[in-house]
Amino acid sequence: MPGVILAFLERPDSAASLLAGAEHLAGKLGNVQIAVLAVRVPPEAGIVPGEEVVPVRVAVRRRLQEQERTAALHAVFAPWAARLEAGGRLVRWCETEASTEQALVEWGSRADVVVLSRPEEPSLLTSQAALHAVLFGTDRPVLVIPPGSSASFGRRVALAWRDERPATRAVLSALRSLVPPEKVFVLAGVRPGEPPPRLPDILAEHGIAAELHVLEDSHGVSGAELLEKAHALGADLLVMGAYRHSPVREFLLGGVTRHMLMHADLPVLMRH
Amino acid sequence: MAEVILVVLQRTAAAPALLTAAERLAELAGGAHLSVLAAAAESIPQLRAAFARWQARPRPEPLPVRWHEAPGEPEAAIVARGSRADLIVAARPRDDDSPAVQVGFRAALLQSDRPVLVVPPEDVFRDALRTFGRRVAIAWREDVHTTRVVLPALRYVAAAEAVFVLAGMRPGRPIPAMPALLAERRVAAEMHLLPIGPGGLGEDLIDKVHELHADLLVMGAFAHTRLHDLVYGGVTRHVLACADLPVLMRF
Repeated sequence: MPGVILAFLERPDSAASLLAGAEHLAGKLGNVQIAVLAVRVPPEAGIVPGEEVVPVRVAVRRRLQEQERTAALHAVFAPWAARLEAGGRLVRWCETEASTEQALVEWGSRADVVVLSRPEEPSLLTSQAALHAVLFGTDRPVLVIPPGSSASFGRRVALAWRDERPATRAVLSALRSLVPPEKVFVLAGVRPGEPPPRLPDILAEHGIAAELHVLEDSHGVSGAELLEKAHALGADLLVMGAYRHSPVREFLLGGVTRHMLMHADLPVLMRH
Repeated sequence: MAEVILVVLQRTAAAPALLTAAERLAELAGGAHLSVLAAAAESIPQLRAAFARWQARPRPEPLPVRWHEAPGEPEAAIVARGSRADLIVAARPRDDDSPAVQVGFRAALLQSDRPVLVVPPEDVFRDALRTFGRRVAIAWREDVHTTRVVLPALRYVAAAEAVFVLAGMRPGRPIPAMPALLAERRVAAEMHLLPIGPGGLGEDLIDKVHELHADLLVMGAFAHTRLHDLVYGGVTRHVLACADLPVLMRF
């Protein structure tokens, strides 16, 4: 029974790097199929019920635009799928008309892992909302692929560690890989007066050797510092817990999550 | 990189059943490290002896096993070690359990975030625990608890002879179809519908499991808060009270 990677295609210009990321991940997980999801957003999405009616003319135009966008996505998908199928990989095209968040929560919840593109510009609100829906609405691990990323990742893994549930869950997901990484770096923050961090028990228990790197910062480690350190170490994948913005405590941490979703230039495996 | 199964030992009498079930689970997973936690304030020497007897059994290859003791705060140790494991094995609660044992079980099920294999501790089930996982019943509900337990369960049922989906059916509601989660993974499952009456689903579920000769039940665990107390949902409570087969649950 093959597992399921759900790859969400949104923008035609980032579709190729997203599919390459999903393909690479499938190679790490072994017996999995790749379900590629394209969502046509209905014209009435985003309109408060009863407040406004979309004129027919506008509705028709928006439907056409969505059809054109998904056709462009499919044009990227088709040759990629043919190549993978020739290699024996199971691949499916899934197209639906729904709100993006709703479709992602429904399909994502029953996938083993969800693969998304990092929004190219922070202003792309749909992409941000989609990321939010998947990270906090599905209970699943999410692999975020930066635009223009090269396909290979998972040989040198940086783990942004906090001894909390989201990071633990992210590590357990990362352990599903059949191909062990060559190198694992643990990046842990330390504040003045606190005991120095140790290597997390979860790694030793699962038989993973790792190298500890302590980042000193009196105000918590920032996303930019994590990225800088990951690059300095030559990491090709970042694994971290994801935090929501709402409650006070999570708001503080949410900053790092938000930073990665906007600026990470390497694939990031996240889990809430 | 190894899969880790945490075995929570509390009552000495249940230890052989739990270790046997964990060994079978490791086999179903295609290999795993067992981490055995003695989580009891007083009976650590007895648990150690039971563990040694089990470990001395003849085997073609030695099992990778680690032994840990948590005499101080068993509950905290169960949650901490449990949340880092892939799966937890714990004994089904019994009426004559001490409050500490009940607290330990609830911690494993409700606070660890992990799937828990709930094992019937009575000695009569010991032989069945060596071979379970061949006929697997999934109690299906379209919700996140069920999805959260079925996804990890699929790692252990790849070689099952038969998979049954037991879905409740309410009058006036659409008839449940084969869950998409299973259909898209090409799990060859057999669907069985159970009418939900005023008495709930618990008894019928267990009856059906017996009728199908299932040897493992997979289901979401439900609990809700009532006056600051976490109370198990109806079906969960029923299954925890009387299941005579291993049940993989997740809250």
